Amino acid sequence: MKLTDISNDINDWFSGSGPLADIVVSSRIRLARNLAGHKFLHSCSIEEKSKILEQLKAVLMSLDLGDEVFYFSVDQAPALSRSFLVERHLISRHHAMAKGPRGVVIARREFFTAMINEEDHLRLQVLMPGCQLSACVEQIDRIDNDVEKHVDYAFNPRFGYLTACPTNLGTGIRVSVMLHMPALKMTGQIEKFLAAAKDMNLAVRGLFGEGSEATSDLYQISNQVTLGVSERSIVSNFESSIIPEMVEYEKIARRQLLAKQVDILDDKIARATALLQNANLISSQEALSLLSHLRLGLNMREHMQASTPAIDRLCALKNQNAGADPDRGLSIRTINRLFMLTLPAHLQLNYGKSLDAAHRDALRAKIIRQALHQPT
Amino acid sequence: MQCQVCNKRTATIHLTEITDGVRHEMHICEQCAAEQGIAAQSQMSINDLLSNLLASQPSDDELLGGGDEVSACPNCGFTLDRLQKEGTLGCPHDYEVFQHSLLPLIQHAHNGSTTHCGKVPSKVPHDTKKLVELSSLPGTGAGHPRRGLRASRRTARPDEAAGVARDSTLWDAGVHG
Repeated sequence: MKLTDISNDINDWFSGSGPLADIVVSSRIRLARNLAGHKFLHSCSIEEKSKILEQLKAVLMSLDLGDEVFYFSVDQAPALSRSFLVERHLISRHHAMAKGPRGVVIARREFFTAMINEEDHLRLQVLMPGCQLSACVEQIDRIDNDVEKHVDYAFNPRFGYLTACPTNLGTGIRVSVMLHMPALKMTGQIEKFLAAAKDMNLAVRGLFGEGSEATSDLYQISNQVTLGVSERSIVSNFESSIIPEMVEYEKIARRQLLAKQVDILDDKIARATALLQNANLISSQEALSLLSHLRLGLNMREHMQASTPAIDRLCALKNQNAGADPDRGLSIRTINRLFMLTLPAHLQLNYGKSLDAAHRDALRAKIIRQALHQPT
Repeated sequence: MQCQVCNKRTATIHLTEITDGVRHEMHICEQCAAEQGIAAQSQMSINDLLSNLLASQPSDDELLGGGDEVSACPNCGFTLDRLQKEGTLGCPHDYEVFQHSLLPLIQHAHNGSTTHCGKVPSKVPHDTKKLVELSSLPGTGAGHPRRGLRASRRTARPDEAAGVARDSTLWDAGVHG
């Protein structure tokens, strides 16, 4: 399988479906594991890294995941391909930029990836759309058990799964959800959300690392403590306490917008729609920011029956990507598709060659204009 | 907060430097930081955490009445000063070799916990599994395993408590594999 087989569409976890999808865009669980009898990666020779890579690759490729699975050699890949994998969250930025033999095993539908020789020998990851952490943890636990039938993990009865960095020690689990919080930002309450996350001992990052949250209004929150608390407890805490609280913050802000600042809301959506429909050049950051406002408008119509002139015009747009049902209105899926397919590496991979920033901005604007074209 | 370098983007990286007792703060965006070679490593914050903890922790003698016996891991040659630079350990055995030095750091990073409670690989010995399960009991999970032992002695039947006492020696049983 080639990367261009998947680069023309969004993956399942970014499809805009699943429980609480108007705010919880996706759920992700990652496990860090290392093989017993080997040094941690930073101290490994090239030969040892190659040996670990081959062993884990063979095990992972033999698993029955209920989906086509393919392997991608990250160290031999061109920079553009690596950037593409980062944009789709199939590998980490660290994995893309690291050195030495390393690779990734990916399920065709992209719900599962396994990075080999990242910071740890193995980083298993399961992603699902919406709020589905319990399903994620069940699936990753099954996969982890299957891998363990073939390898011996480095484990210590006191410290649990031994990881290269002590901050991942114990369960080695990183539970995270990606939240869309535009109303909190519009109402000037995003600091309240960030403070709450800090109080709960959570890490907050943007969609593409630190800094990107300011443009896309997408925030990834994840646990920091991995030792002394079980995997199920962490997930349960997210599902019963953390996520409901965060979602409620955003819902209150959305209700406030409708009740007290409807002009501001309408203006933001109207401006975003007009710019996206008419711009000839648009940067990635600007596109992410404007598409975020469109996503907010569509979700507020669907979940809160919101009606403003700009939301009504937005909902009247025909969906250019609805397939069998082209008369259906603009969907969250289309917005998310534009969001992902206009990212720099996606643009270039789908265009077939590398483009400078100015050409990317022009191509991005053209794709968005076509998708949001108002039929006459 | 605006980036102090480009004055355009939002500052997401906040640096504090204390020189001769004078505190200097700098707030910059990710892009400017990268251009200045500041944010090239994604592990920077973790490294900083490790570095600060290792540098500021009391001596092992003060903490534990005794320090780690060796300065380098006999398995991989790793020394603790490398942890400050690289942010990762050298091999799984380092957790045993440098246990005393690492404990305060681990405790700080994990909200006071130093004991695993959670999943156990199916291949580990039954006794080890039992031990971790006991750590997972309500009120015994966080902290040192001996906290779990005391709790078990209060609540368990005499034969179960004896079982726990025997198992507690397994904490020093070492790394599997």
